[in-house]
Amino acid sequence: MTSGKASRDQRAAKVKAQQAAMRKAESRRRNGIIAGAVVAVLVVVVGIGAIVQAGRNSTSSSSATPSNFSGDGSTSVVLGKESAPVTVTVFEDFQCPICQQFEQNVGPTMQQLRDAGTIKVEYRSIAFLDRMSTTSYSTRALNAAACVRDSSPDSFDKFHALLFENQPPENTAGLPDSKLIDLAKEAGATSVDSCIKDQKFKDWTVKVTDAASKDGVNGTPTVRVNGTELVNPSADQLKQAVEKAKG
Amino acid sequence: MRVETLLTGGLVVLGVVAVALAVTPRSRAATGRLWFATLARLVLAGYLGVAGLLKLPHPAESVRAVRAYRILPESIVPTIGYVLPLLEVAIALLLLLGLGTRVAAVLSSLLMTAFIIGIASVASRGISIDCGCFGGGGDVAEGATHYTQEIIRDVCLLLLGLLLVYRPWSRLSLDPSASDDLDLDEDEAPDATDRQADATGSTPTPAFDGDHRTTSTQEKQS
Repeated sequence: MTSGKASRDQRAAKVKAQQAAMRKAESRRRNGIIAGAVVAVLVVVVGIGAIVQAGRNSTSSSSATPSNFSGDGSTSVVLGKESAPVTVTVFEDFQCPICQQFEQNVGPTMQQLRDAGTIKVEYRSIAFLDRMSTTSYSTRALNAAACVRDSSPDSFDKFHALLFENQPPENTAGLPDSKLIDLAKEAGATSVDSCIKDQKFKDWTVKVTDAASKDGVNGTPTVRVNGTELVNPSADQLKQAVEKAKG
Repeated sequence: MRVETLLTGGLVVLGVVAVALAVTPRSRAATGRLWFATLARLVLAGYLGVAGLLKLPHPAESVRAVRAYRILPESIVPTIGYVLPLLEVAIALLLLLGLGTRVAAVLSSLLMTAFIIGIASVASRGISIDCGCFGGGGDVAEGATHYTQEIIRDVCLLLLGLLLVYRPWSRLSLDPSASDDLDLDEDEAPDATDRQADATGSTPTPAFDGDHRTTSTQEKQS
């Protein structure tokens, strides 16, 4: 109403504006510091974490490699006559239910073709389904298979079949080590107890699984007939592919 | 599957609200906006945190999941596999605390964009994989993929992230800028200094200018 009040109001407003500007400048500075700190924390956490993660995954160079495996990095077990013209490569995980079905449905056919000297079977067992059991059964089973092949090469074939016949359901504790030892003995293997219990070839299981992944295997069963990939083939499809490969 | 569908449905609702909030004038329902931003932060933090923590214990599996997309060269696949879960957890933590919200939201939005591109890419190439979003990964049987749902989910999370990039202020946040600036905002109308700063738009102050710029453009439009 009066000019005096108006100018008072103006002054007050001006002071208020100045205060606001100062607070703004202050908060700007703080924002800068926070942003810097946040980025620094992110870089440090992610950087150190990545190194730790990589370290957890890599294996010592001195890790044990089982005997009687073939291939670069001892990744495979080859069964059948060396002279067989066709190689069927099978990537399997002992915890994989579809692999079990594959063994049931196509296993006998592969056995016939093997006996006939038409194919040799290259088993590349891997362990990538550890999360499907509470005890990393996938890795334990593969380690056990390596133990059997290492100590008693001829028992691998039978042990491999027994593991699929006795495959534990997913999301359980899997078979205990004692059961794995029993199955190994049933397959005719000897002196595998400590190897299975101590997971002697655990590092090797990581290596072969990694190698398969790098070979383009993103799931199991992956079957290759002389290198040509078949997606979960039936017995007939496998036979046809073998005939074709034989030429 | 049922639960996932419900969660995705909820996310779609949040995504729609995020878009609605981004295109409406700021002055309406200011408190509601702040609480929605808090919700957006927590939802993003939840998804990223769970996804990261489920992957952290299995670094090798994480690497294989990345490899299964058949996009990145082998030379960087392991690094991405190791770093991704950590990044997810770190961003989740920042969003949970409301610390550096805009930085975290930018990173989260970049991640979501990458995920959407990745999933769309495998879908378009006819590859059947588990996205490995929450651990796992690798090939699955044909017809056992959930690409559509995964993309919808990630698009909604991207929208929430973008809203936070646009307006990072929220309740229950450690960002001092949020509470300070907002007190200012609520008490006082934007003064001349602010208008000037807004008009130039050159000052990269995250907490203030963007918001006022929005207000003024919206006012001009209406």
